[in-house]
Amino acid sequence: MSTISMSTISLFLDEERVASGDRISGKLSYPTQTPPQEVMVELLWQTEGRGTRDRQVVDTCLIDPQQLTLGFAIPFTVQSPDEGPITYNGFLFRILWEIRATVVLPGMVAKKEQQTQPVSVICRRS
Amino acid sequence: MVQQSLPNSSLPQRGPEGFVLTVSQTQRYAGLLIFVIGLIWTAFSAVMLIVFIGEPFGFFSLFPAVFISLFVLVGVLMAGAGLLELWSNLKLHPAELILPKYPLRLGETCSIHYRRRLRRGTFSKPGRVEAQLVCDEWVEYTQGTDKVTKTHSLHEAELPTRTVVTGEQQADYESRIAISSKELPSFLAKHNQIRWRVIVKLTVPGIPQKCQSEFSLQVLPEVLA
Repeated sequence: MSTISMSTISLFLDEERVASGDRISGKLSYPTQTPPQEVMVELLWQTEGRGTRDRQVVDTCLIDPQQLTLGFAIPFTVQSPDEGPITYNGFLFRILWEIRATVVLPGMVAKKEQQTQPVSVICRRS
Repeated sequence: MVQQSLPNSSLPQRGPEGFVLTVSQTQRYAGLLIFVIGLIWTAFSAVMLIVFIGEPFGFFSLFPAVFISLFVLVGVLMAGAGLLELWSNLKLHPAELILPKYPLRLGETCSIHYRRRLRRGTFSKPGRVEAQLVCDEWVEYTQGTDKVTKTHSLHEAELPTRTVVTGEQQADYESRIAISSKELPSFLAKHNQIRWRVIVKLTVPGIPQKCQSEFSLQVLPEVLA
């Protein structure tokens, strides 16, 4: 069983608009003196609209939980795929990209905090 | 991986001519499937009809019998349509679409070569090949226990019509397709899709069905300079 609580995670992105195939970098900070069980940053897309939701995590960056106790923001990088999709707002559905940070807290009952930040993925130019 | 296997097409095979797309197994055997479903439907409806006709004559057995006759008719039409499709596919090899490059990009123009060969003999009468390049949004969702699909057209371009020459063993069609830089790249998830397709219709006297083939194209999210 896991519960998600109000987040004190701070997420900062170097760029909020990237081209498909680009890396997305940023920083994550989370005030804690006790190292969490797990810290990860995921890049994912999901659809909204008339169709049944589709969702996919395309990249995950694991962060050493010990680093969070040092008190400064930890950098991360995730990779968007060359083949897309791109952010899209259509007639029947939308495609939304986001960065999701998850901190799993120590304890018998797995409690986790999550924070998301939208990002826009556009076509790349050759 | 975002891209599910492309609907309507097998993955392209690279050969000396270029990238060869063929229609999917589903499209190839659609006729057989419709024929079998039509047969089962007709058989089941016919049994029900015989049961009602066998009932003692009365007002209350007449209307159900008439109603069930409609189901029998639907089954016969379905089986007939499947049979025509099967017959067409028995006369022709599966269609192929050949492209010099694949996948495609936005802002790209590319030649296409469609071909479909007769299994035996040559075309004795002139025929016609019509083609379109289309792009649409497609979604699937569940409504109660039913699966519902909806589409919305994003792009439709008619390509020039060509004649199938008599005396040839295969129908050949060549044209060019253009994908504007302002268009959208493909997106193929399970329930939500942006699909690019080339739809080719071959009409030949002696082959009862208008033979329609759909080829899915992958368009990358890259704009050519």
